[in-house]
Amino acid sequence: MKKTGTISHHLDVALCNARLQAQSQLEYPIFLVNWFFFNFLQWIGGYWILTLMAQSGNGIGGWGINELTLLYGLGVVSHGIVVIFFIQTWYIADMVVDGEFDRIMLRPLNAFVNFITRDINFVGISDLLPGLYILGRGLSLCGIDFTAANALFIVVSILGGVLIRLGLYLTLNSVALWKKTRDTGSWLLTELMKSGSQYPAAIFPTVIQTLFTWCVPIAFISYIPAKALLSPSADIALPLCLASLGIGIALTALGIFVFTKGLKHYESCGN
Amino acid sequence: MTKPAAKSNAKAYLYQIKLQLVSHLAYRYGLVVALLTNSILLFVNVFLWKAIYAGSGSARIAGFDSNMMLTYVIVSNLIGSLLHPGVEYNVRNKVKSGAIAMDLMKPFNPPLSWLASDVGRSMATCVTRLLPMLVLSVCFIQAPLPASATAAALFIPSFILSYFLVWTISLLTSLIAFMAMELGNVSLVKDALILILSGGYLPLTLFGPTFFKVSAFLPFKYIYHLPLTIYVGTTGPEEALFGMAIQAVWILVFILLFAFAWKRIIRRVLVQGG
Repeated sequence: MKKTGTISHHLDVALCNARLQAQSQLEYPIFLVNWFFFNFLQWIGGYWILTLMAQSGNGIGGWGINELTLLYGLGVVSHGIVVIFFIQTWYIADMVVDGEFDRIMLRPLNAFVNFITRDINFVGISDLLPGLYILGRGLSLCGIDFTAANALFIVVSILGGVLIRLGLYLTLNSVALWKKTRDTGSWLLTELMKSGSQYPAAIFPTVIQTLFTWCVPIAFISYIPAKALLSPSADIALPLCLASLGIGIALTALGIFVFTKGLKHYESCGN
Repeated sequence: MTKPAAKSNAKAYLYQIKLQLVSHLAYRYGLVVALLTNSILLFVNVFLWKAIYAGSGSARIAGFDSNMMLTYVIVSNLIGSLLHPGVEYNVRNKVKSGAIAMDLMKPFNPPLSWLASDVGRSMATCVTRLLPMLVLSVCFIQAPLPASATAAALFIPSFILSYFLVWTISLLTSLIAFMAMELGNVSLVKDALILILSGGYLPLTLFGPTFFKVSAFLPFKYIYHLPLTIYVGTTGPEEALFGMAIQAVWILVFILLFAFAWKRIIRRVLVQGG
């Protein structure tokens, strides 16, 4: 038996959780097929609508359909990754109300690591695959070559987007650990992120652009990274991509801090 | 049915409407989140179209000027809050819990009682979502005025028919719960299909001539596109009346399909629990 508290022990537990999740989700193939169909419809249908809107005018907010495809793809990919690995952050409030943290806190593991690795949601693959297709199409339409530098920019941008989403969900929903309520506004945040990451921020009034850039930095999920990828010079692109990653790391750290602090206030009647 | 029995049935349905109205008004947090979510969608759509018109260099897109398009988007969002019937979830929950047995034993028509529930829910939605969104639109976007008094007069019956059309489609979908004991996300898929194919997001004229021609033979066009284009004035009175006749035909088709399926399904209802 591996010593508790070590990284390899935490990894073992995470892998075990992933295996159990895979087994349990494969027990309901119709459920998975249903979700695959719905998400395919949602993202490909959404992209089709976006294309029709862009073609009906002369692009949207100065962005042509090629750039919009890249932007949309970046947003969907980071969303898909969050749905696969971090969907539990959406349901912190439900876990608090249902007393599910009792078990997590009793285990001889770091509570945050145990929480964050407890769920692998295979439904998220149905978000990720259309996202990857649209992103690939966007990269090709925008003529972005597959060089090592560009690949690095893309990976850093996606990672930044994932961490920003994770940090925002974690910070907002951890409030439930104090308030003991399901009412944290998680769905509202999802809607805001969807709107703020799939369309150019330039379409919004200045107040909202400022809000999305400096207060709730949703613009850094895909809008600013897409601008970075489209910029002709690496001198401009690199700092912007790194800014996205930096903000993501800072927000995730904030989320972990709020979550850990909140756990000290957690109380339940058990389950 | 005798007159007193009919009167007592009507009372039961009215009570159901009242019950839904009161219970939906009780969940204040849910109402605020739903209102904010709908408002975000509305404002994002408005900003999108404003940006498209600003960049297009053309005053009209697919026959709509900027004001007409914004009115289309606003009214689509307003009526959209009413065009999501809860009948599928209601029936799914009843089938899962076994409460459907009670519905079948009570001295009223179950589908009519489900309709009464949805009407009550929609009345609550009018107060909690539609009216606040209308006020927000008037204050921050524009007053979504109809093209003319005739357009307004024709819009109302057309929208009522849309409501029943989407409700009968949902009623038919709810029958899956009897066969599979679970609906999964079939309702989400159905709602997404309806929104895309019915012109809930965009006027169907933007989808191209072939799609528009094909859509005339499907029921979806008559859910959003018809009432909205009547409202903004791109569908004239004669065409509107013809469209409403088609709406009524589709409703009848779905009711007949439901009646046919209901007779067979009801014989093999499996009740657990309850």
